Amino acid sequence: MRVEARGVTVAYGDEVIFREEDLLVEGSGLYVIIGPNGAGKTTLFKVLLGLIRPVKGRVFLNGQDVTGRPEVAGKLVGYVPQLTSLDFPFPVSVEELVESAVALRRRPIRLFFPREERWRVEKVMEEMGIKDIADKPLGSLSGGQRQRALIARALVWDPQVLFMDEPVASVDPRGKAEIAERIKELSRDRMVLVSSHDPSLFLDSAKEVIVVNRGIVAKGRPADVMRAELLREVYGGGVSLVERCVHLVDSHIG
Amino acid sequence: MWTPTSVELDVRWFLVVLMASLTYGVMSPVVKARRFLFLAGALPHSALLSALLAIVLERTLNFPFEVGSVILSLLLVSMVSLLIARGLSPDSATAIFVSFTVSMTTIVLYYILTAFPMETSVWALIIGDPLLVTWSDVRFGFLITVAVVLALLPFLREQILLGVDRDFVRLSGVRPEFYDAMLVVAMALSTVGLLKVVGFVVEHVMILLPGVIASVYARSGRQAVLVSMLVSLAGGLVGLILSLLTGLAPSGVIGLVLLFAYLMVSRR
Repeated sequence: MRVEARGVTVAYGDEVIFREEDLLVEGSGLYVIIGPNGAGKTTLFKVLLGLIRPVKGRVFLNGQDVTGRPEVAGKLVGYVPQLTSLDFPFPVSVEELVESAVALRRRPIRLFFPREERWRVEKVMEEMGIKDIADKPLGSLSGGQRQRALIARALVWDPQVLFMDEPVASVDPRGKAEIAERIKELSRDRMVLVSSHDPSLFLDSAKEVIVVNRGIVAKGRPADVMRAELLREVYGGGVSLVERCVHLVDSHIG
Repeated sequence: MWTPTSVELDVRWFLVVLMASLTYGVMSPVVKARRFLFLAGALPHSALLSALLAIVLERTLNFPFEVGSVILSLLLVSMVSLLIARGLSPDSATAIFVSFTVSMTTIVLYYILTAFPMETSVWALIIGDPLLVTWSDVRFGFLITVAVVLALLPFLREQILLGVDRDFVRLSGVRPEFYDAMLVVAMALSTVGLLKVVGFVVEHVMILLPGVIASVYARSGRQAVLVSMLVSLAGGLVGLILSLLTGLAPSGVIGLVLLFAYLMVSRR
């Protein structure tokens, strides 16, 4: 399990988001990517997944070049997008969403799934506790239920690398804790990269923290990275979030 | 004087209405799921312009009307695709497209009405009339229906999921550009190919309403596609029968039936 970016430059028009950045993440565990809004966390994920082609540099997943090639990256990783980036203008049921992980890879469309694929879909829905809402349209569900459906979809092929973009955003506090626990469980035997505006839920289990702010500002063990002065610099100072994170690191990790 | 009993039923009326209903019933949920409503509402304008230009070609160069209208329609719709590919937002590209086609339609319509004595044909394009179709129209409509259904029906899952989560679909190895192009071409073909049957005015309703009704009523994508097709087929047939009984314009009555269905569903 290895995710690597070499000399990556990303720009939207004239606006440069990352300039010749390197990143290497290796081995199973929970990697938490933090940074304020607009820091480039989602952009970083999209570059690593091949969804955005960098102006310069290459991206590798397990040694395979996936630069601008999402169809290759998709075979190696599971992806949970940011819930707020999705729209449900049309009824799609939970089951349809989860089984799309199988169905989209099997073109031309077949009416019936082989038993093994059906079993995969059933299994992840069971594990994520969404079997009883399988026939419900996503638009009618709570943020937590939608998030569980998206995680289930990412887990269908049992990927060894998981990218999760703000997996607890738009989720109520109880749901947040439940989803965070599930993510920690998942990270025991695979690499899980979680981006979060509020990392406090993940810090106690994080193997490494990557601080992003229009570039990779810091990367390392939580105790080394979660320093008050660095976070104040990144988040702009005086933010309660910073105080909370530093306190958490001091009391549980540091 | 016209009375319901004086009507001699013609199988062609039912065939063309069934074909139009099936085509739009399949296309409408995709248009809704992909949020192509604005473009779908604009395409009848380009279909009308293509058909009018095809009349001019037919009258001046003896170029076959059906072939001319399809080619012109595809050329016009590729204009929107080009604008979007050049970085314009779909809404802005559609706005430019509509402004151009509406203005040109007025100019070409004026030219046709003054240069050729073809008022009846022009009105048939605008208000549509399944009762005036010929066997040639039926054959043309059949080809359009088969092409559109084959372009969309096997790929409904991809099309719908592209509207929900484009990134995930790309990660699954699907190329969105191919499906975008297929949808736009299918929309262009159906609007120009069925213009004589449904008419420019009611085409908007037939493209938009079945999908909207289905999205209100259904709980899953599969259910929504089925509902859209049933609503479209039922609306088409009921509208045609009611128009025969009342002597009102068939495409107008079909539009009202679909509107009534929408109002009933939206009260849920």
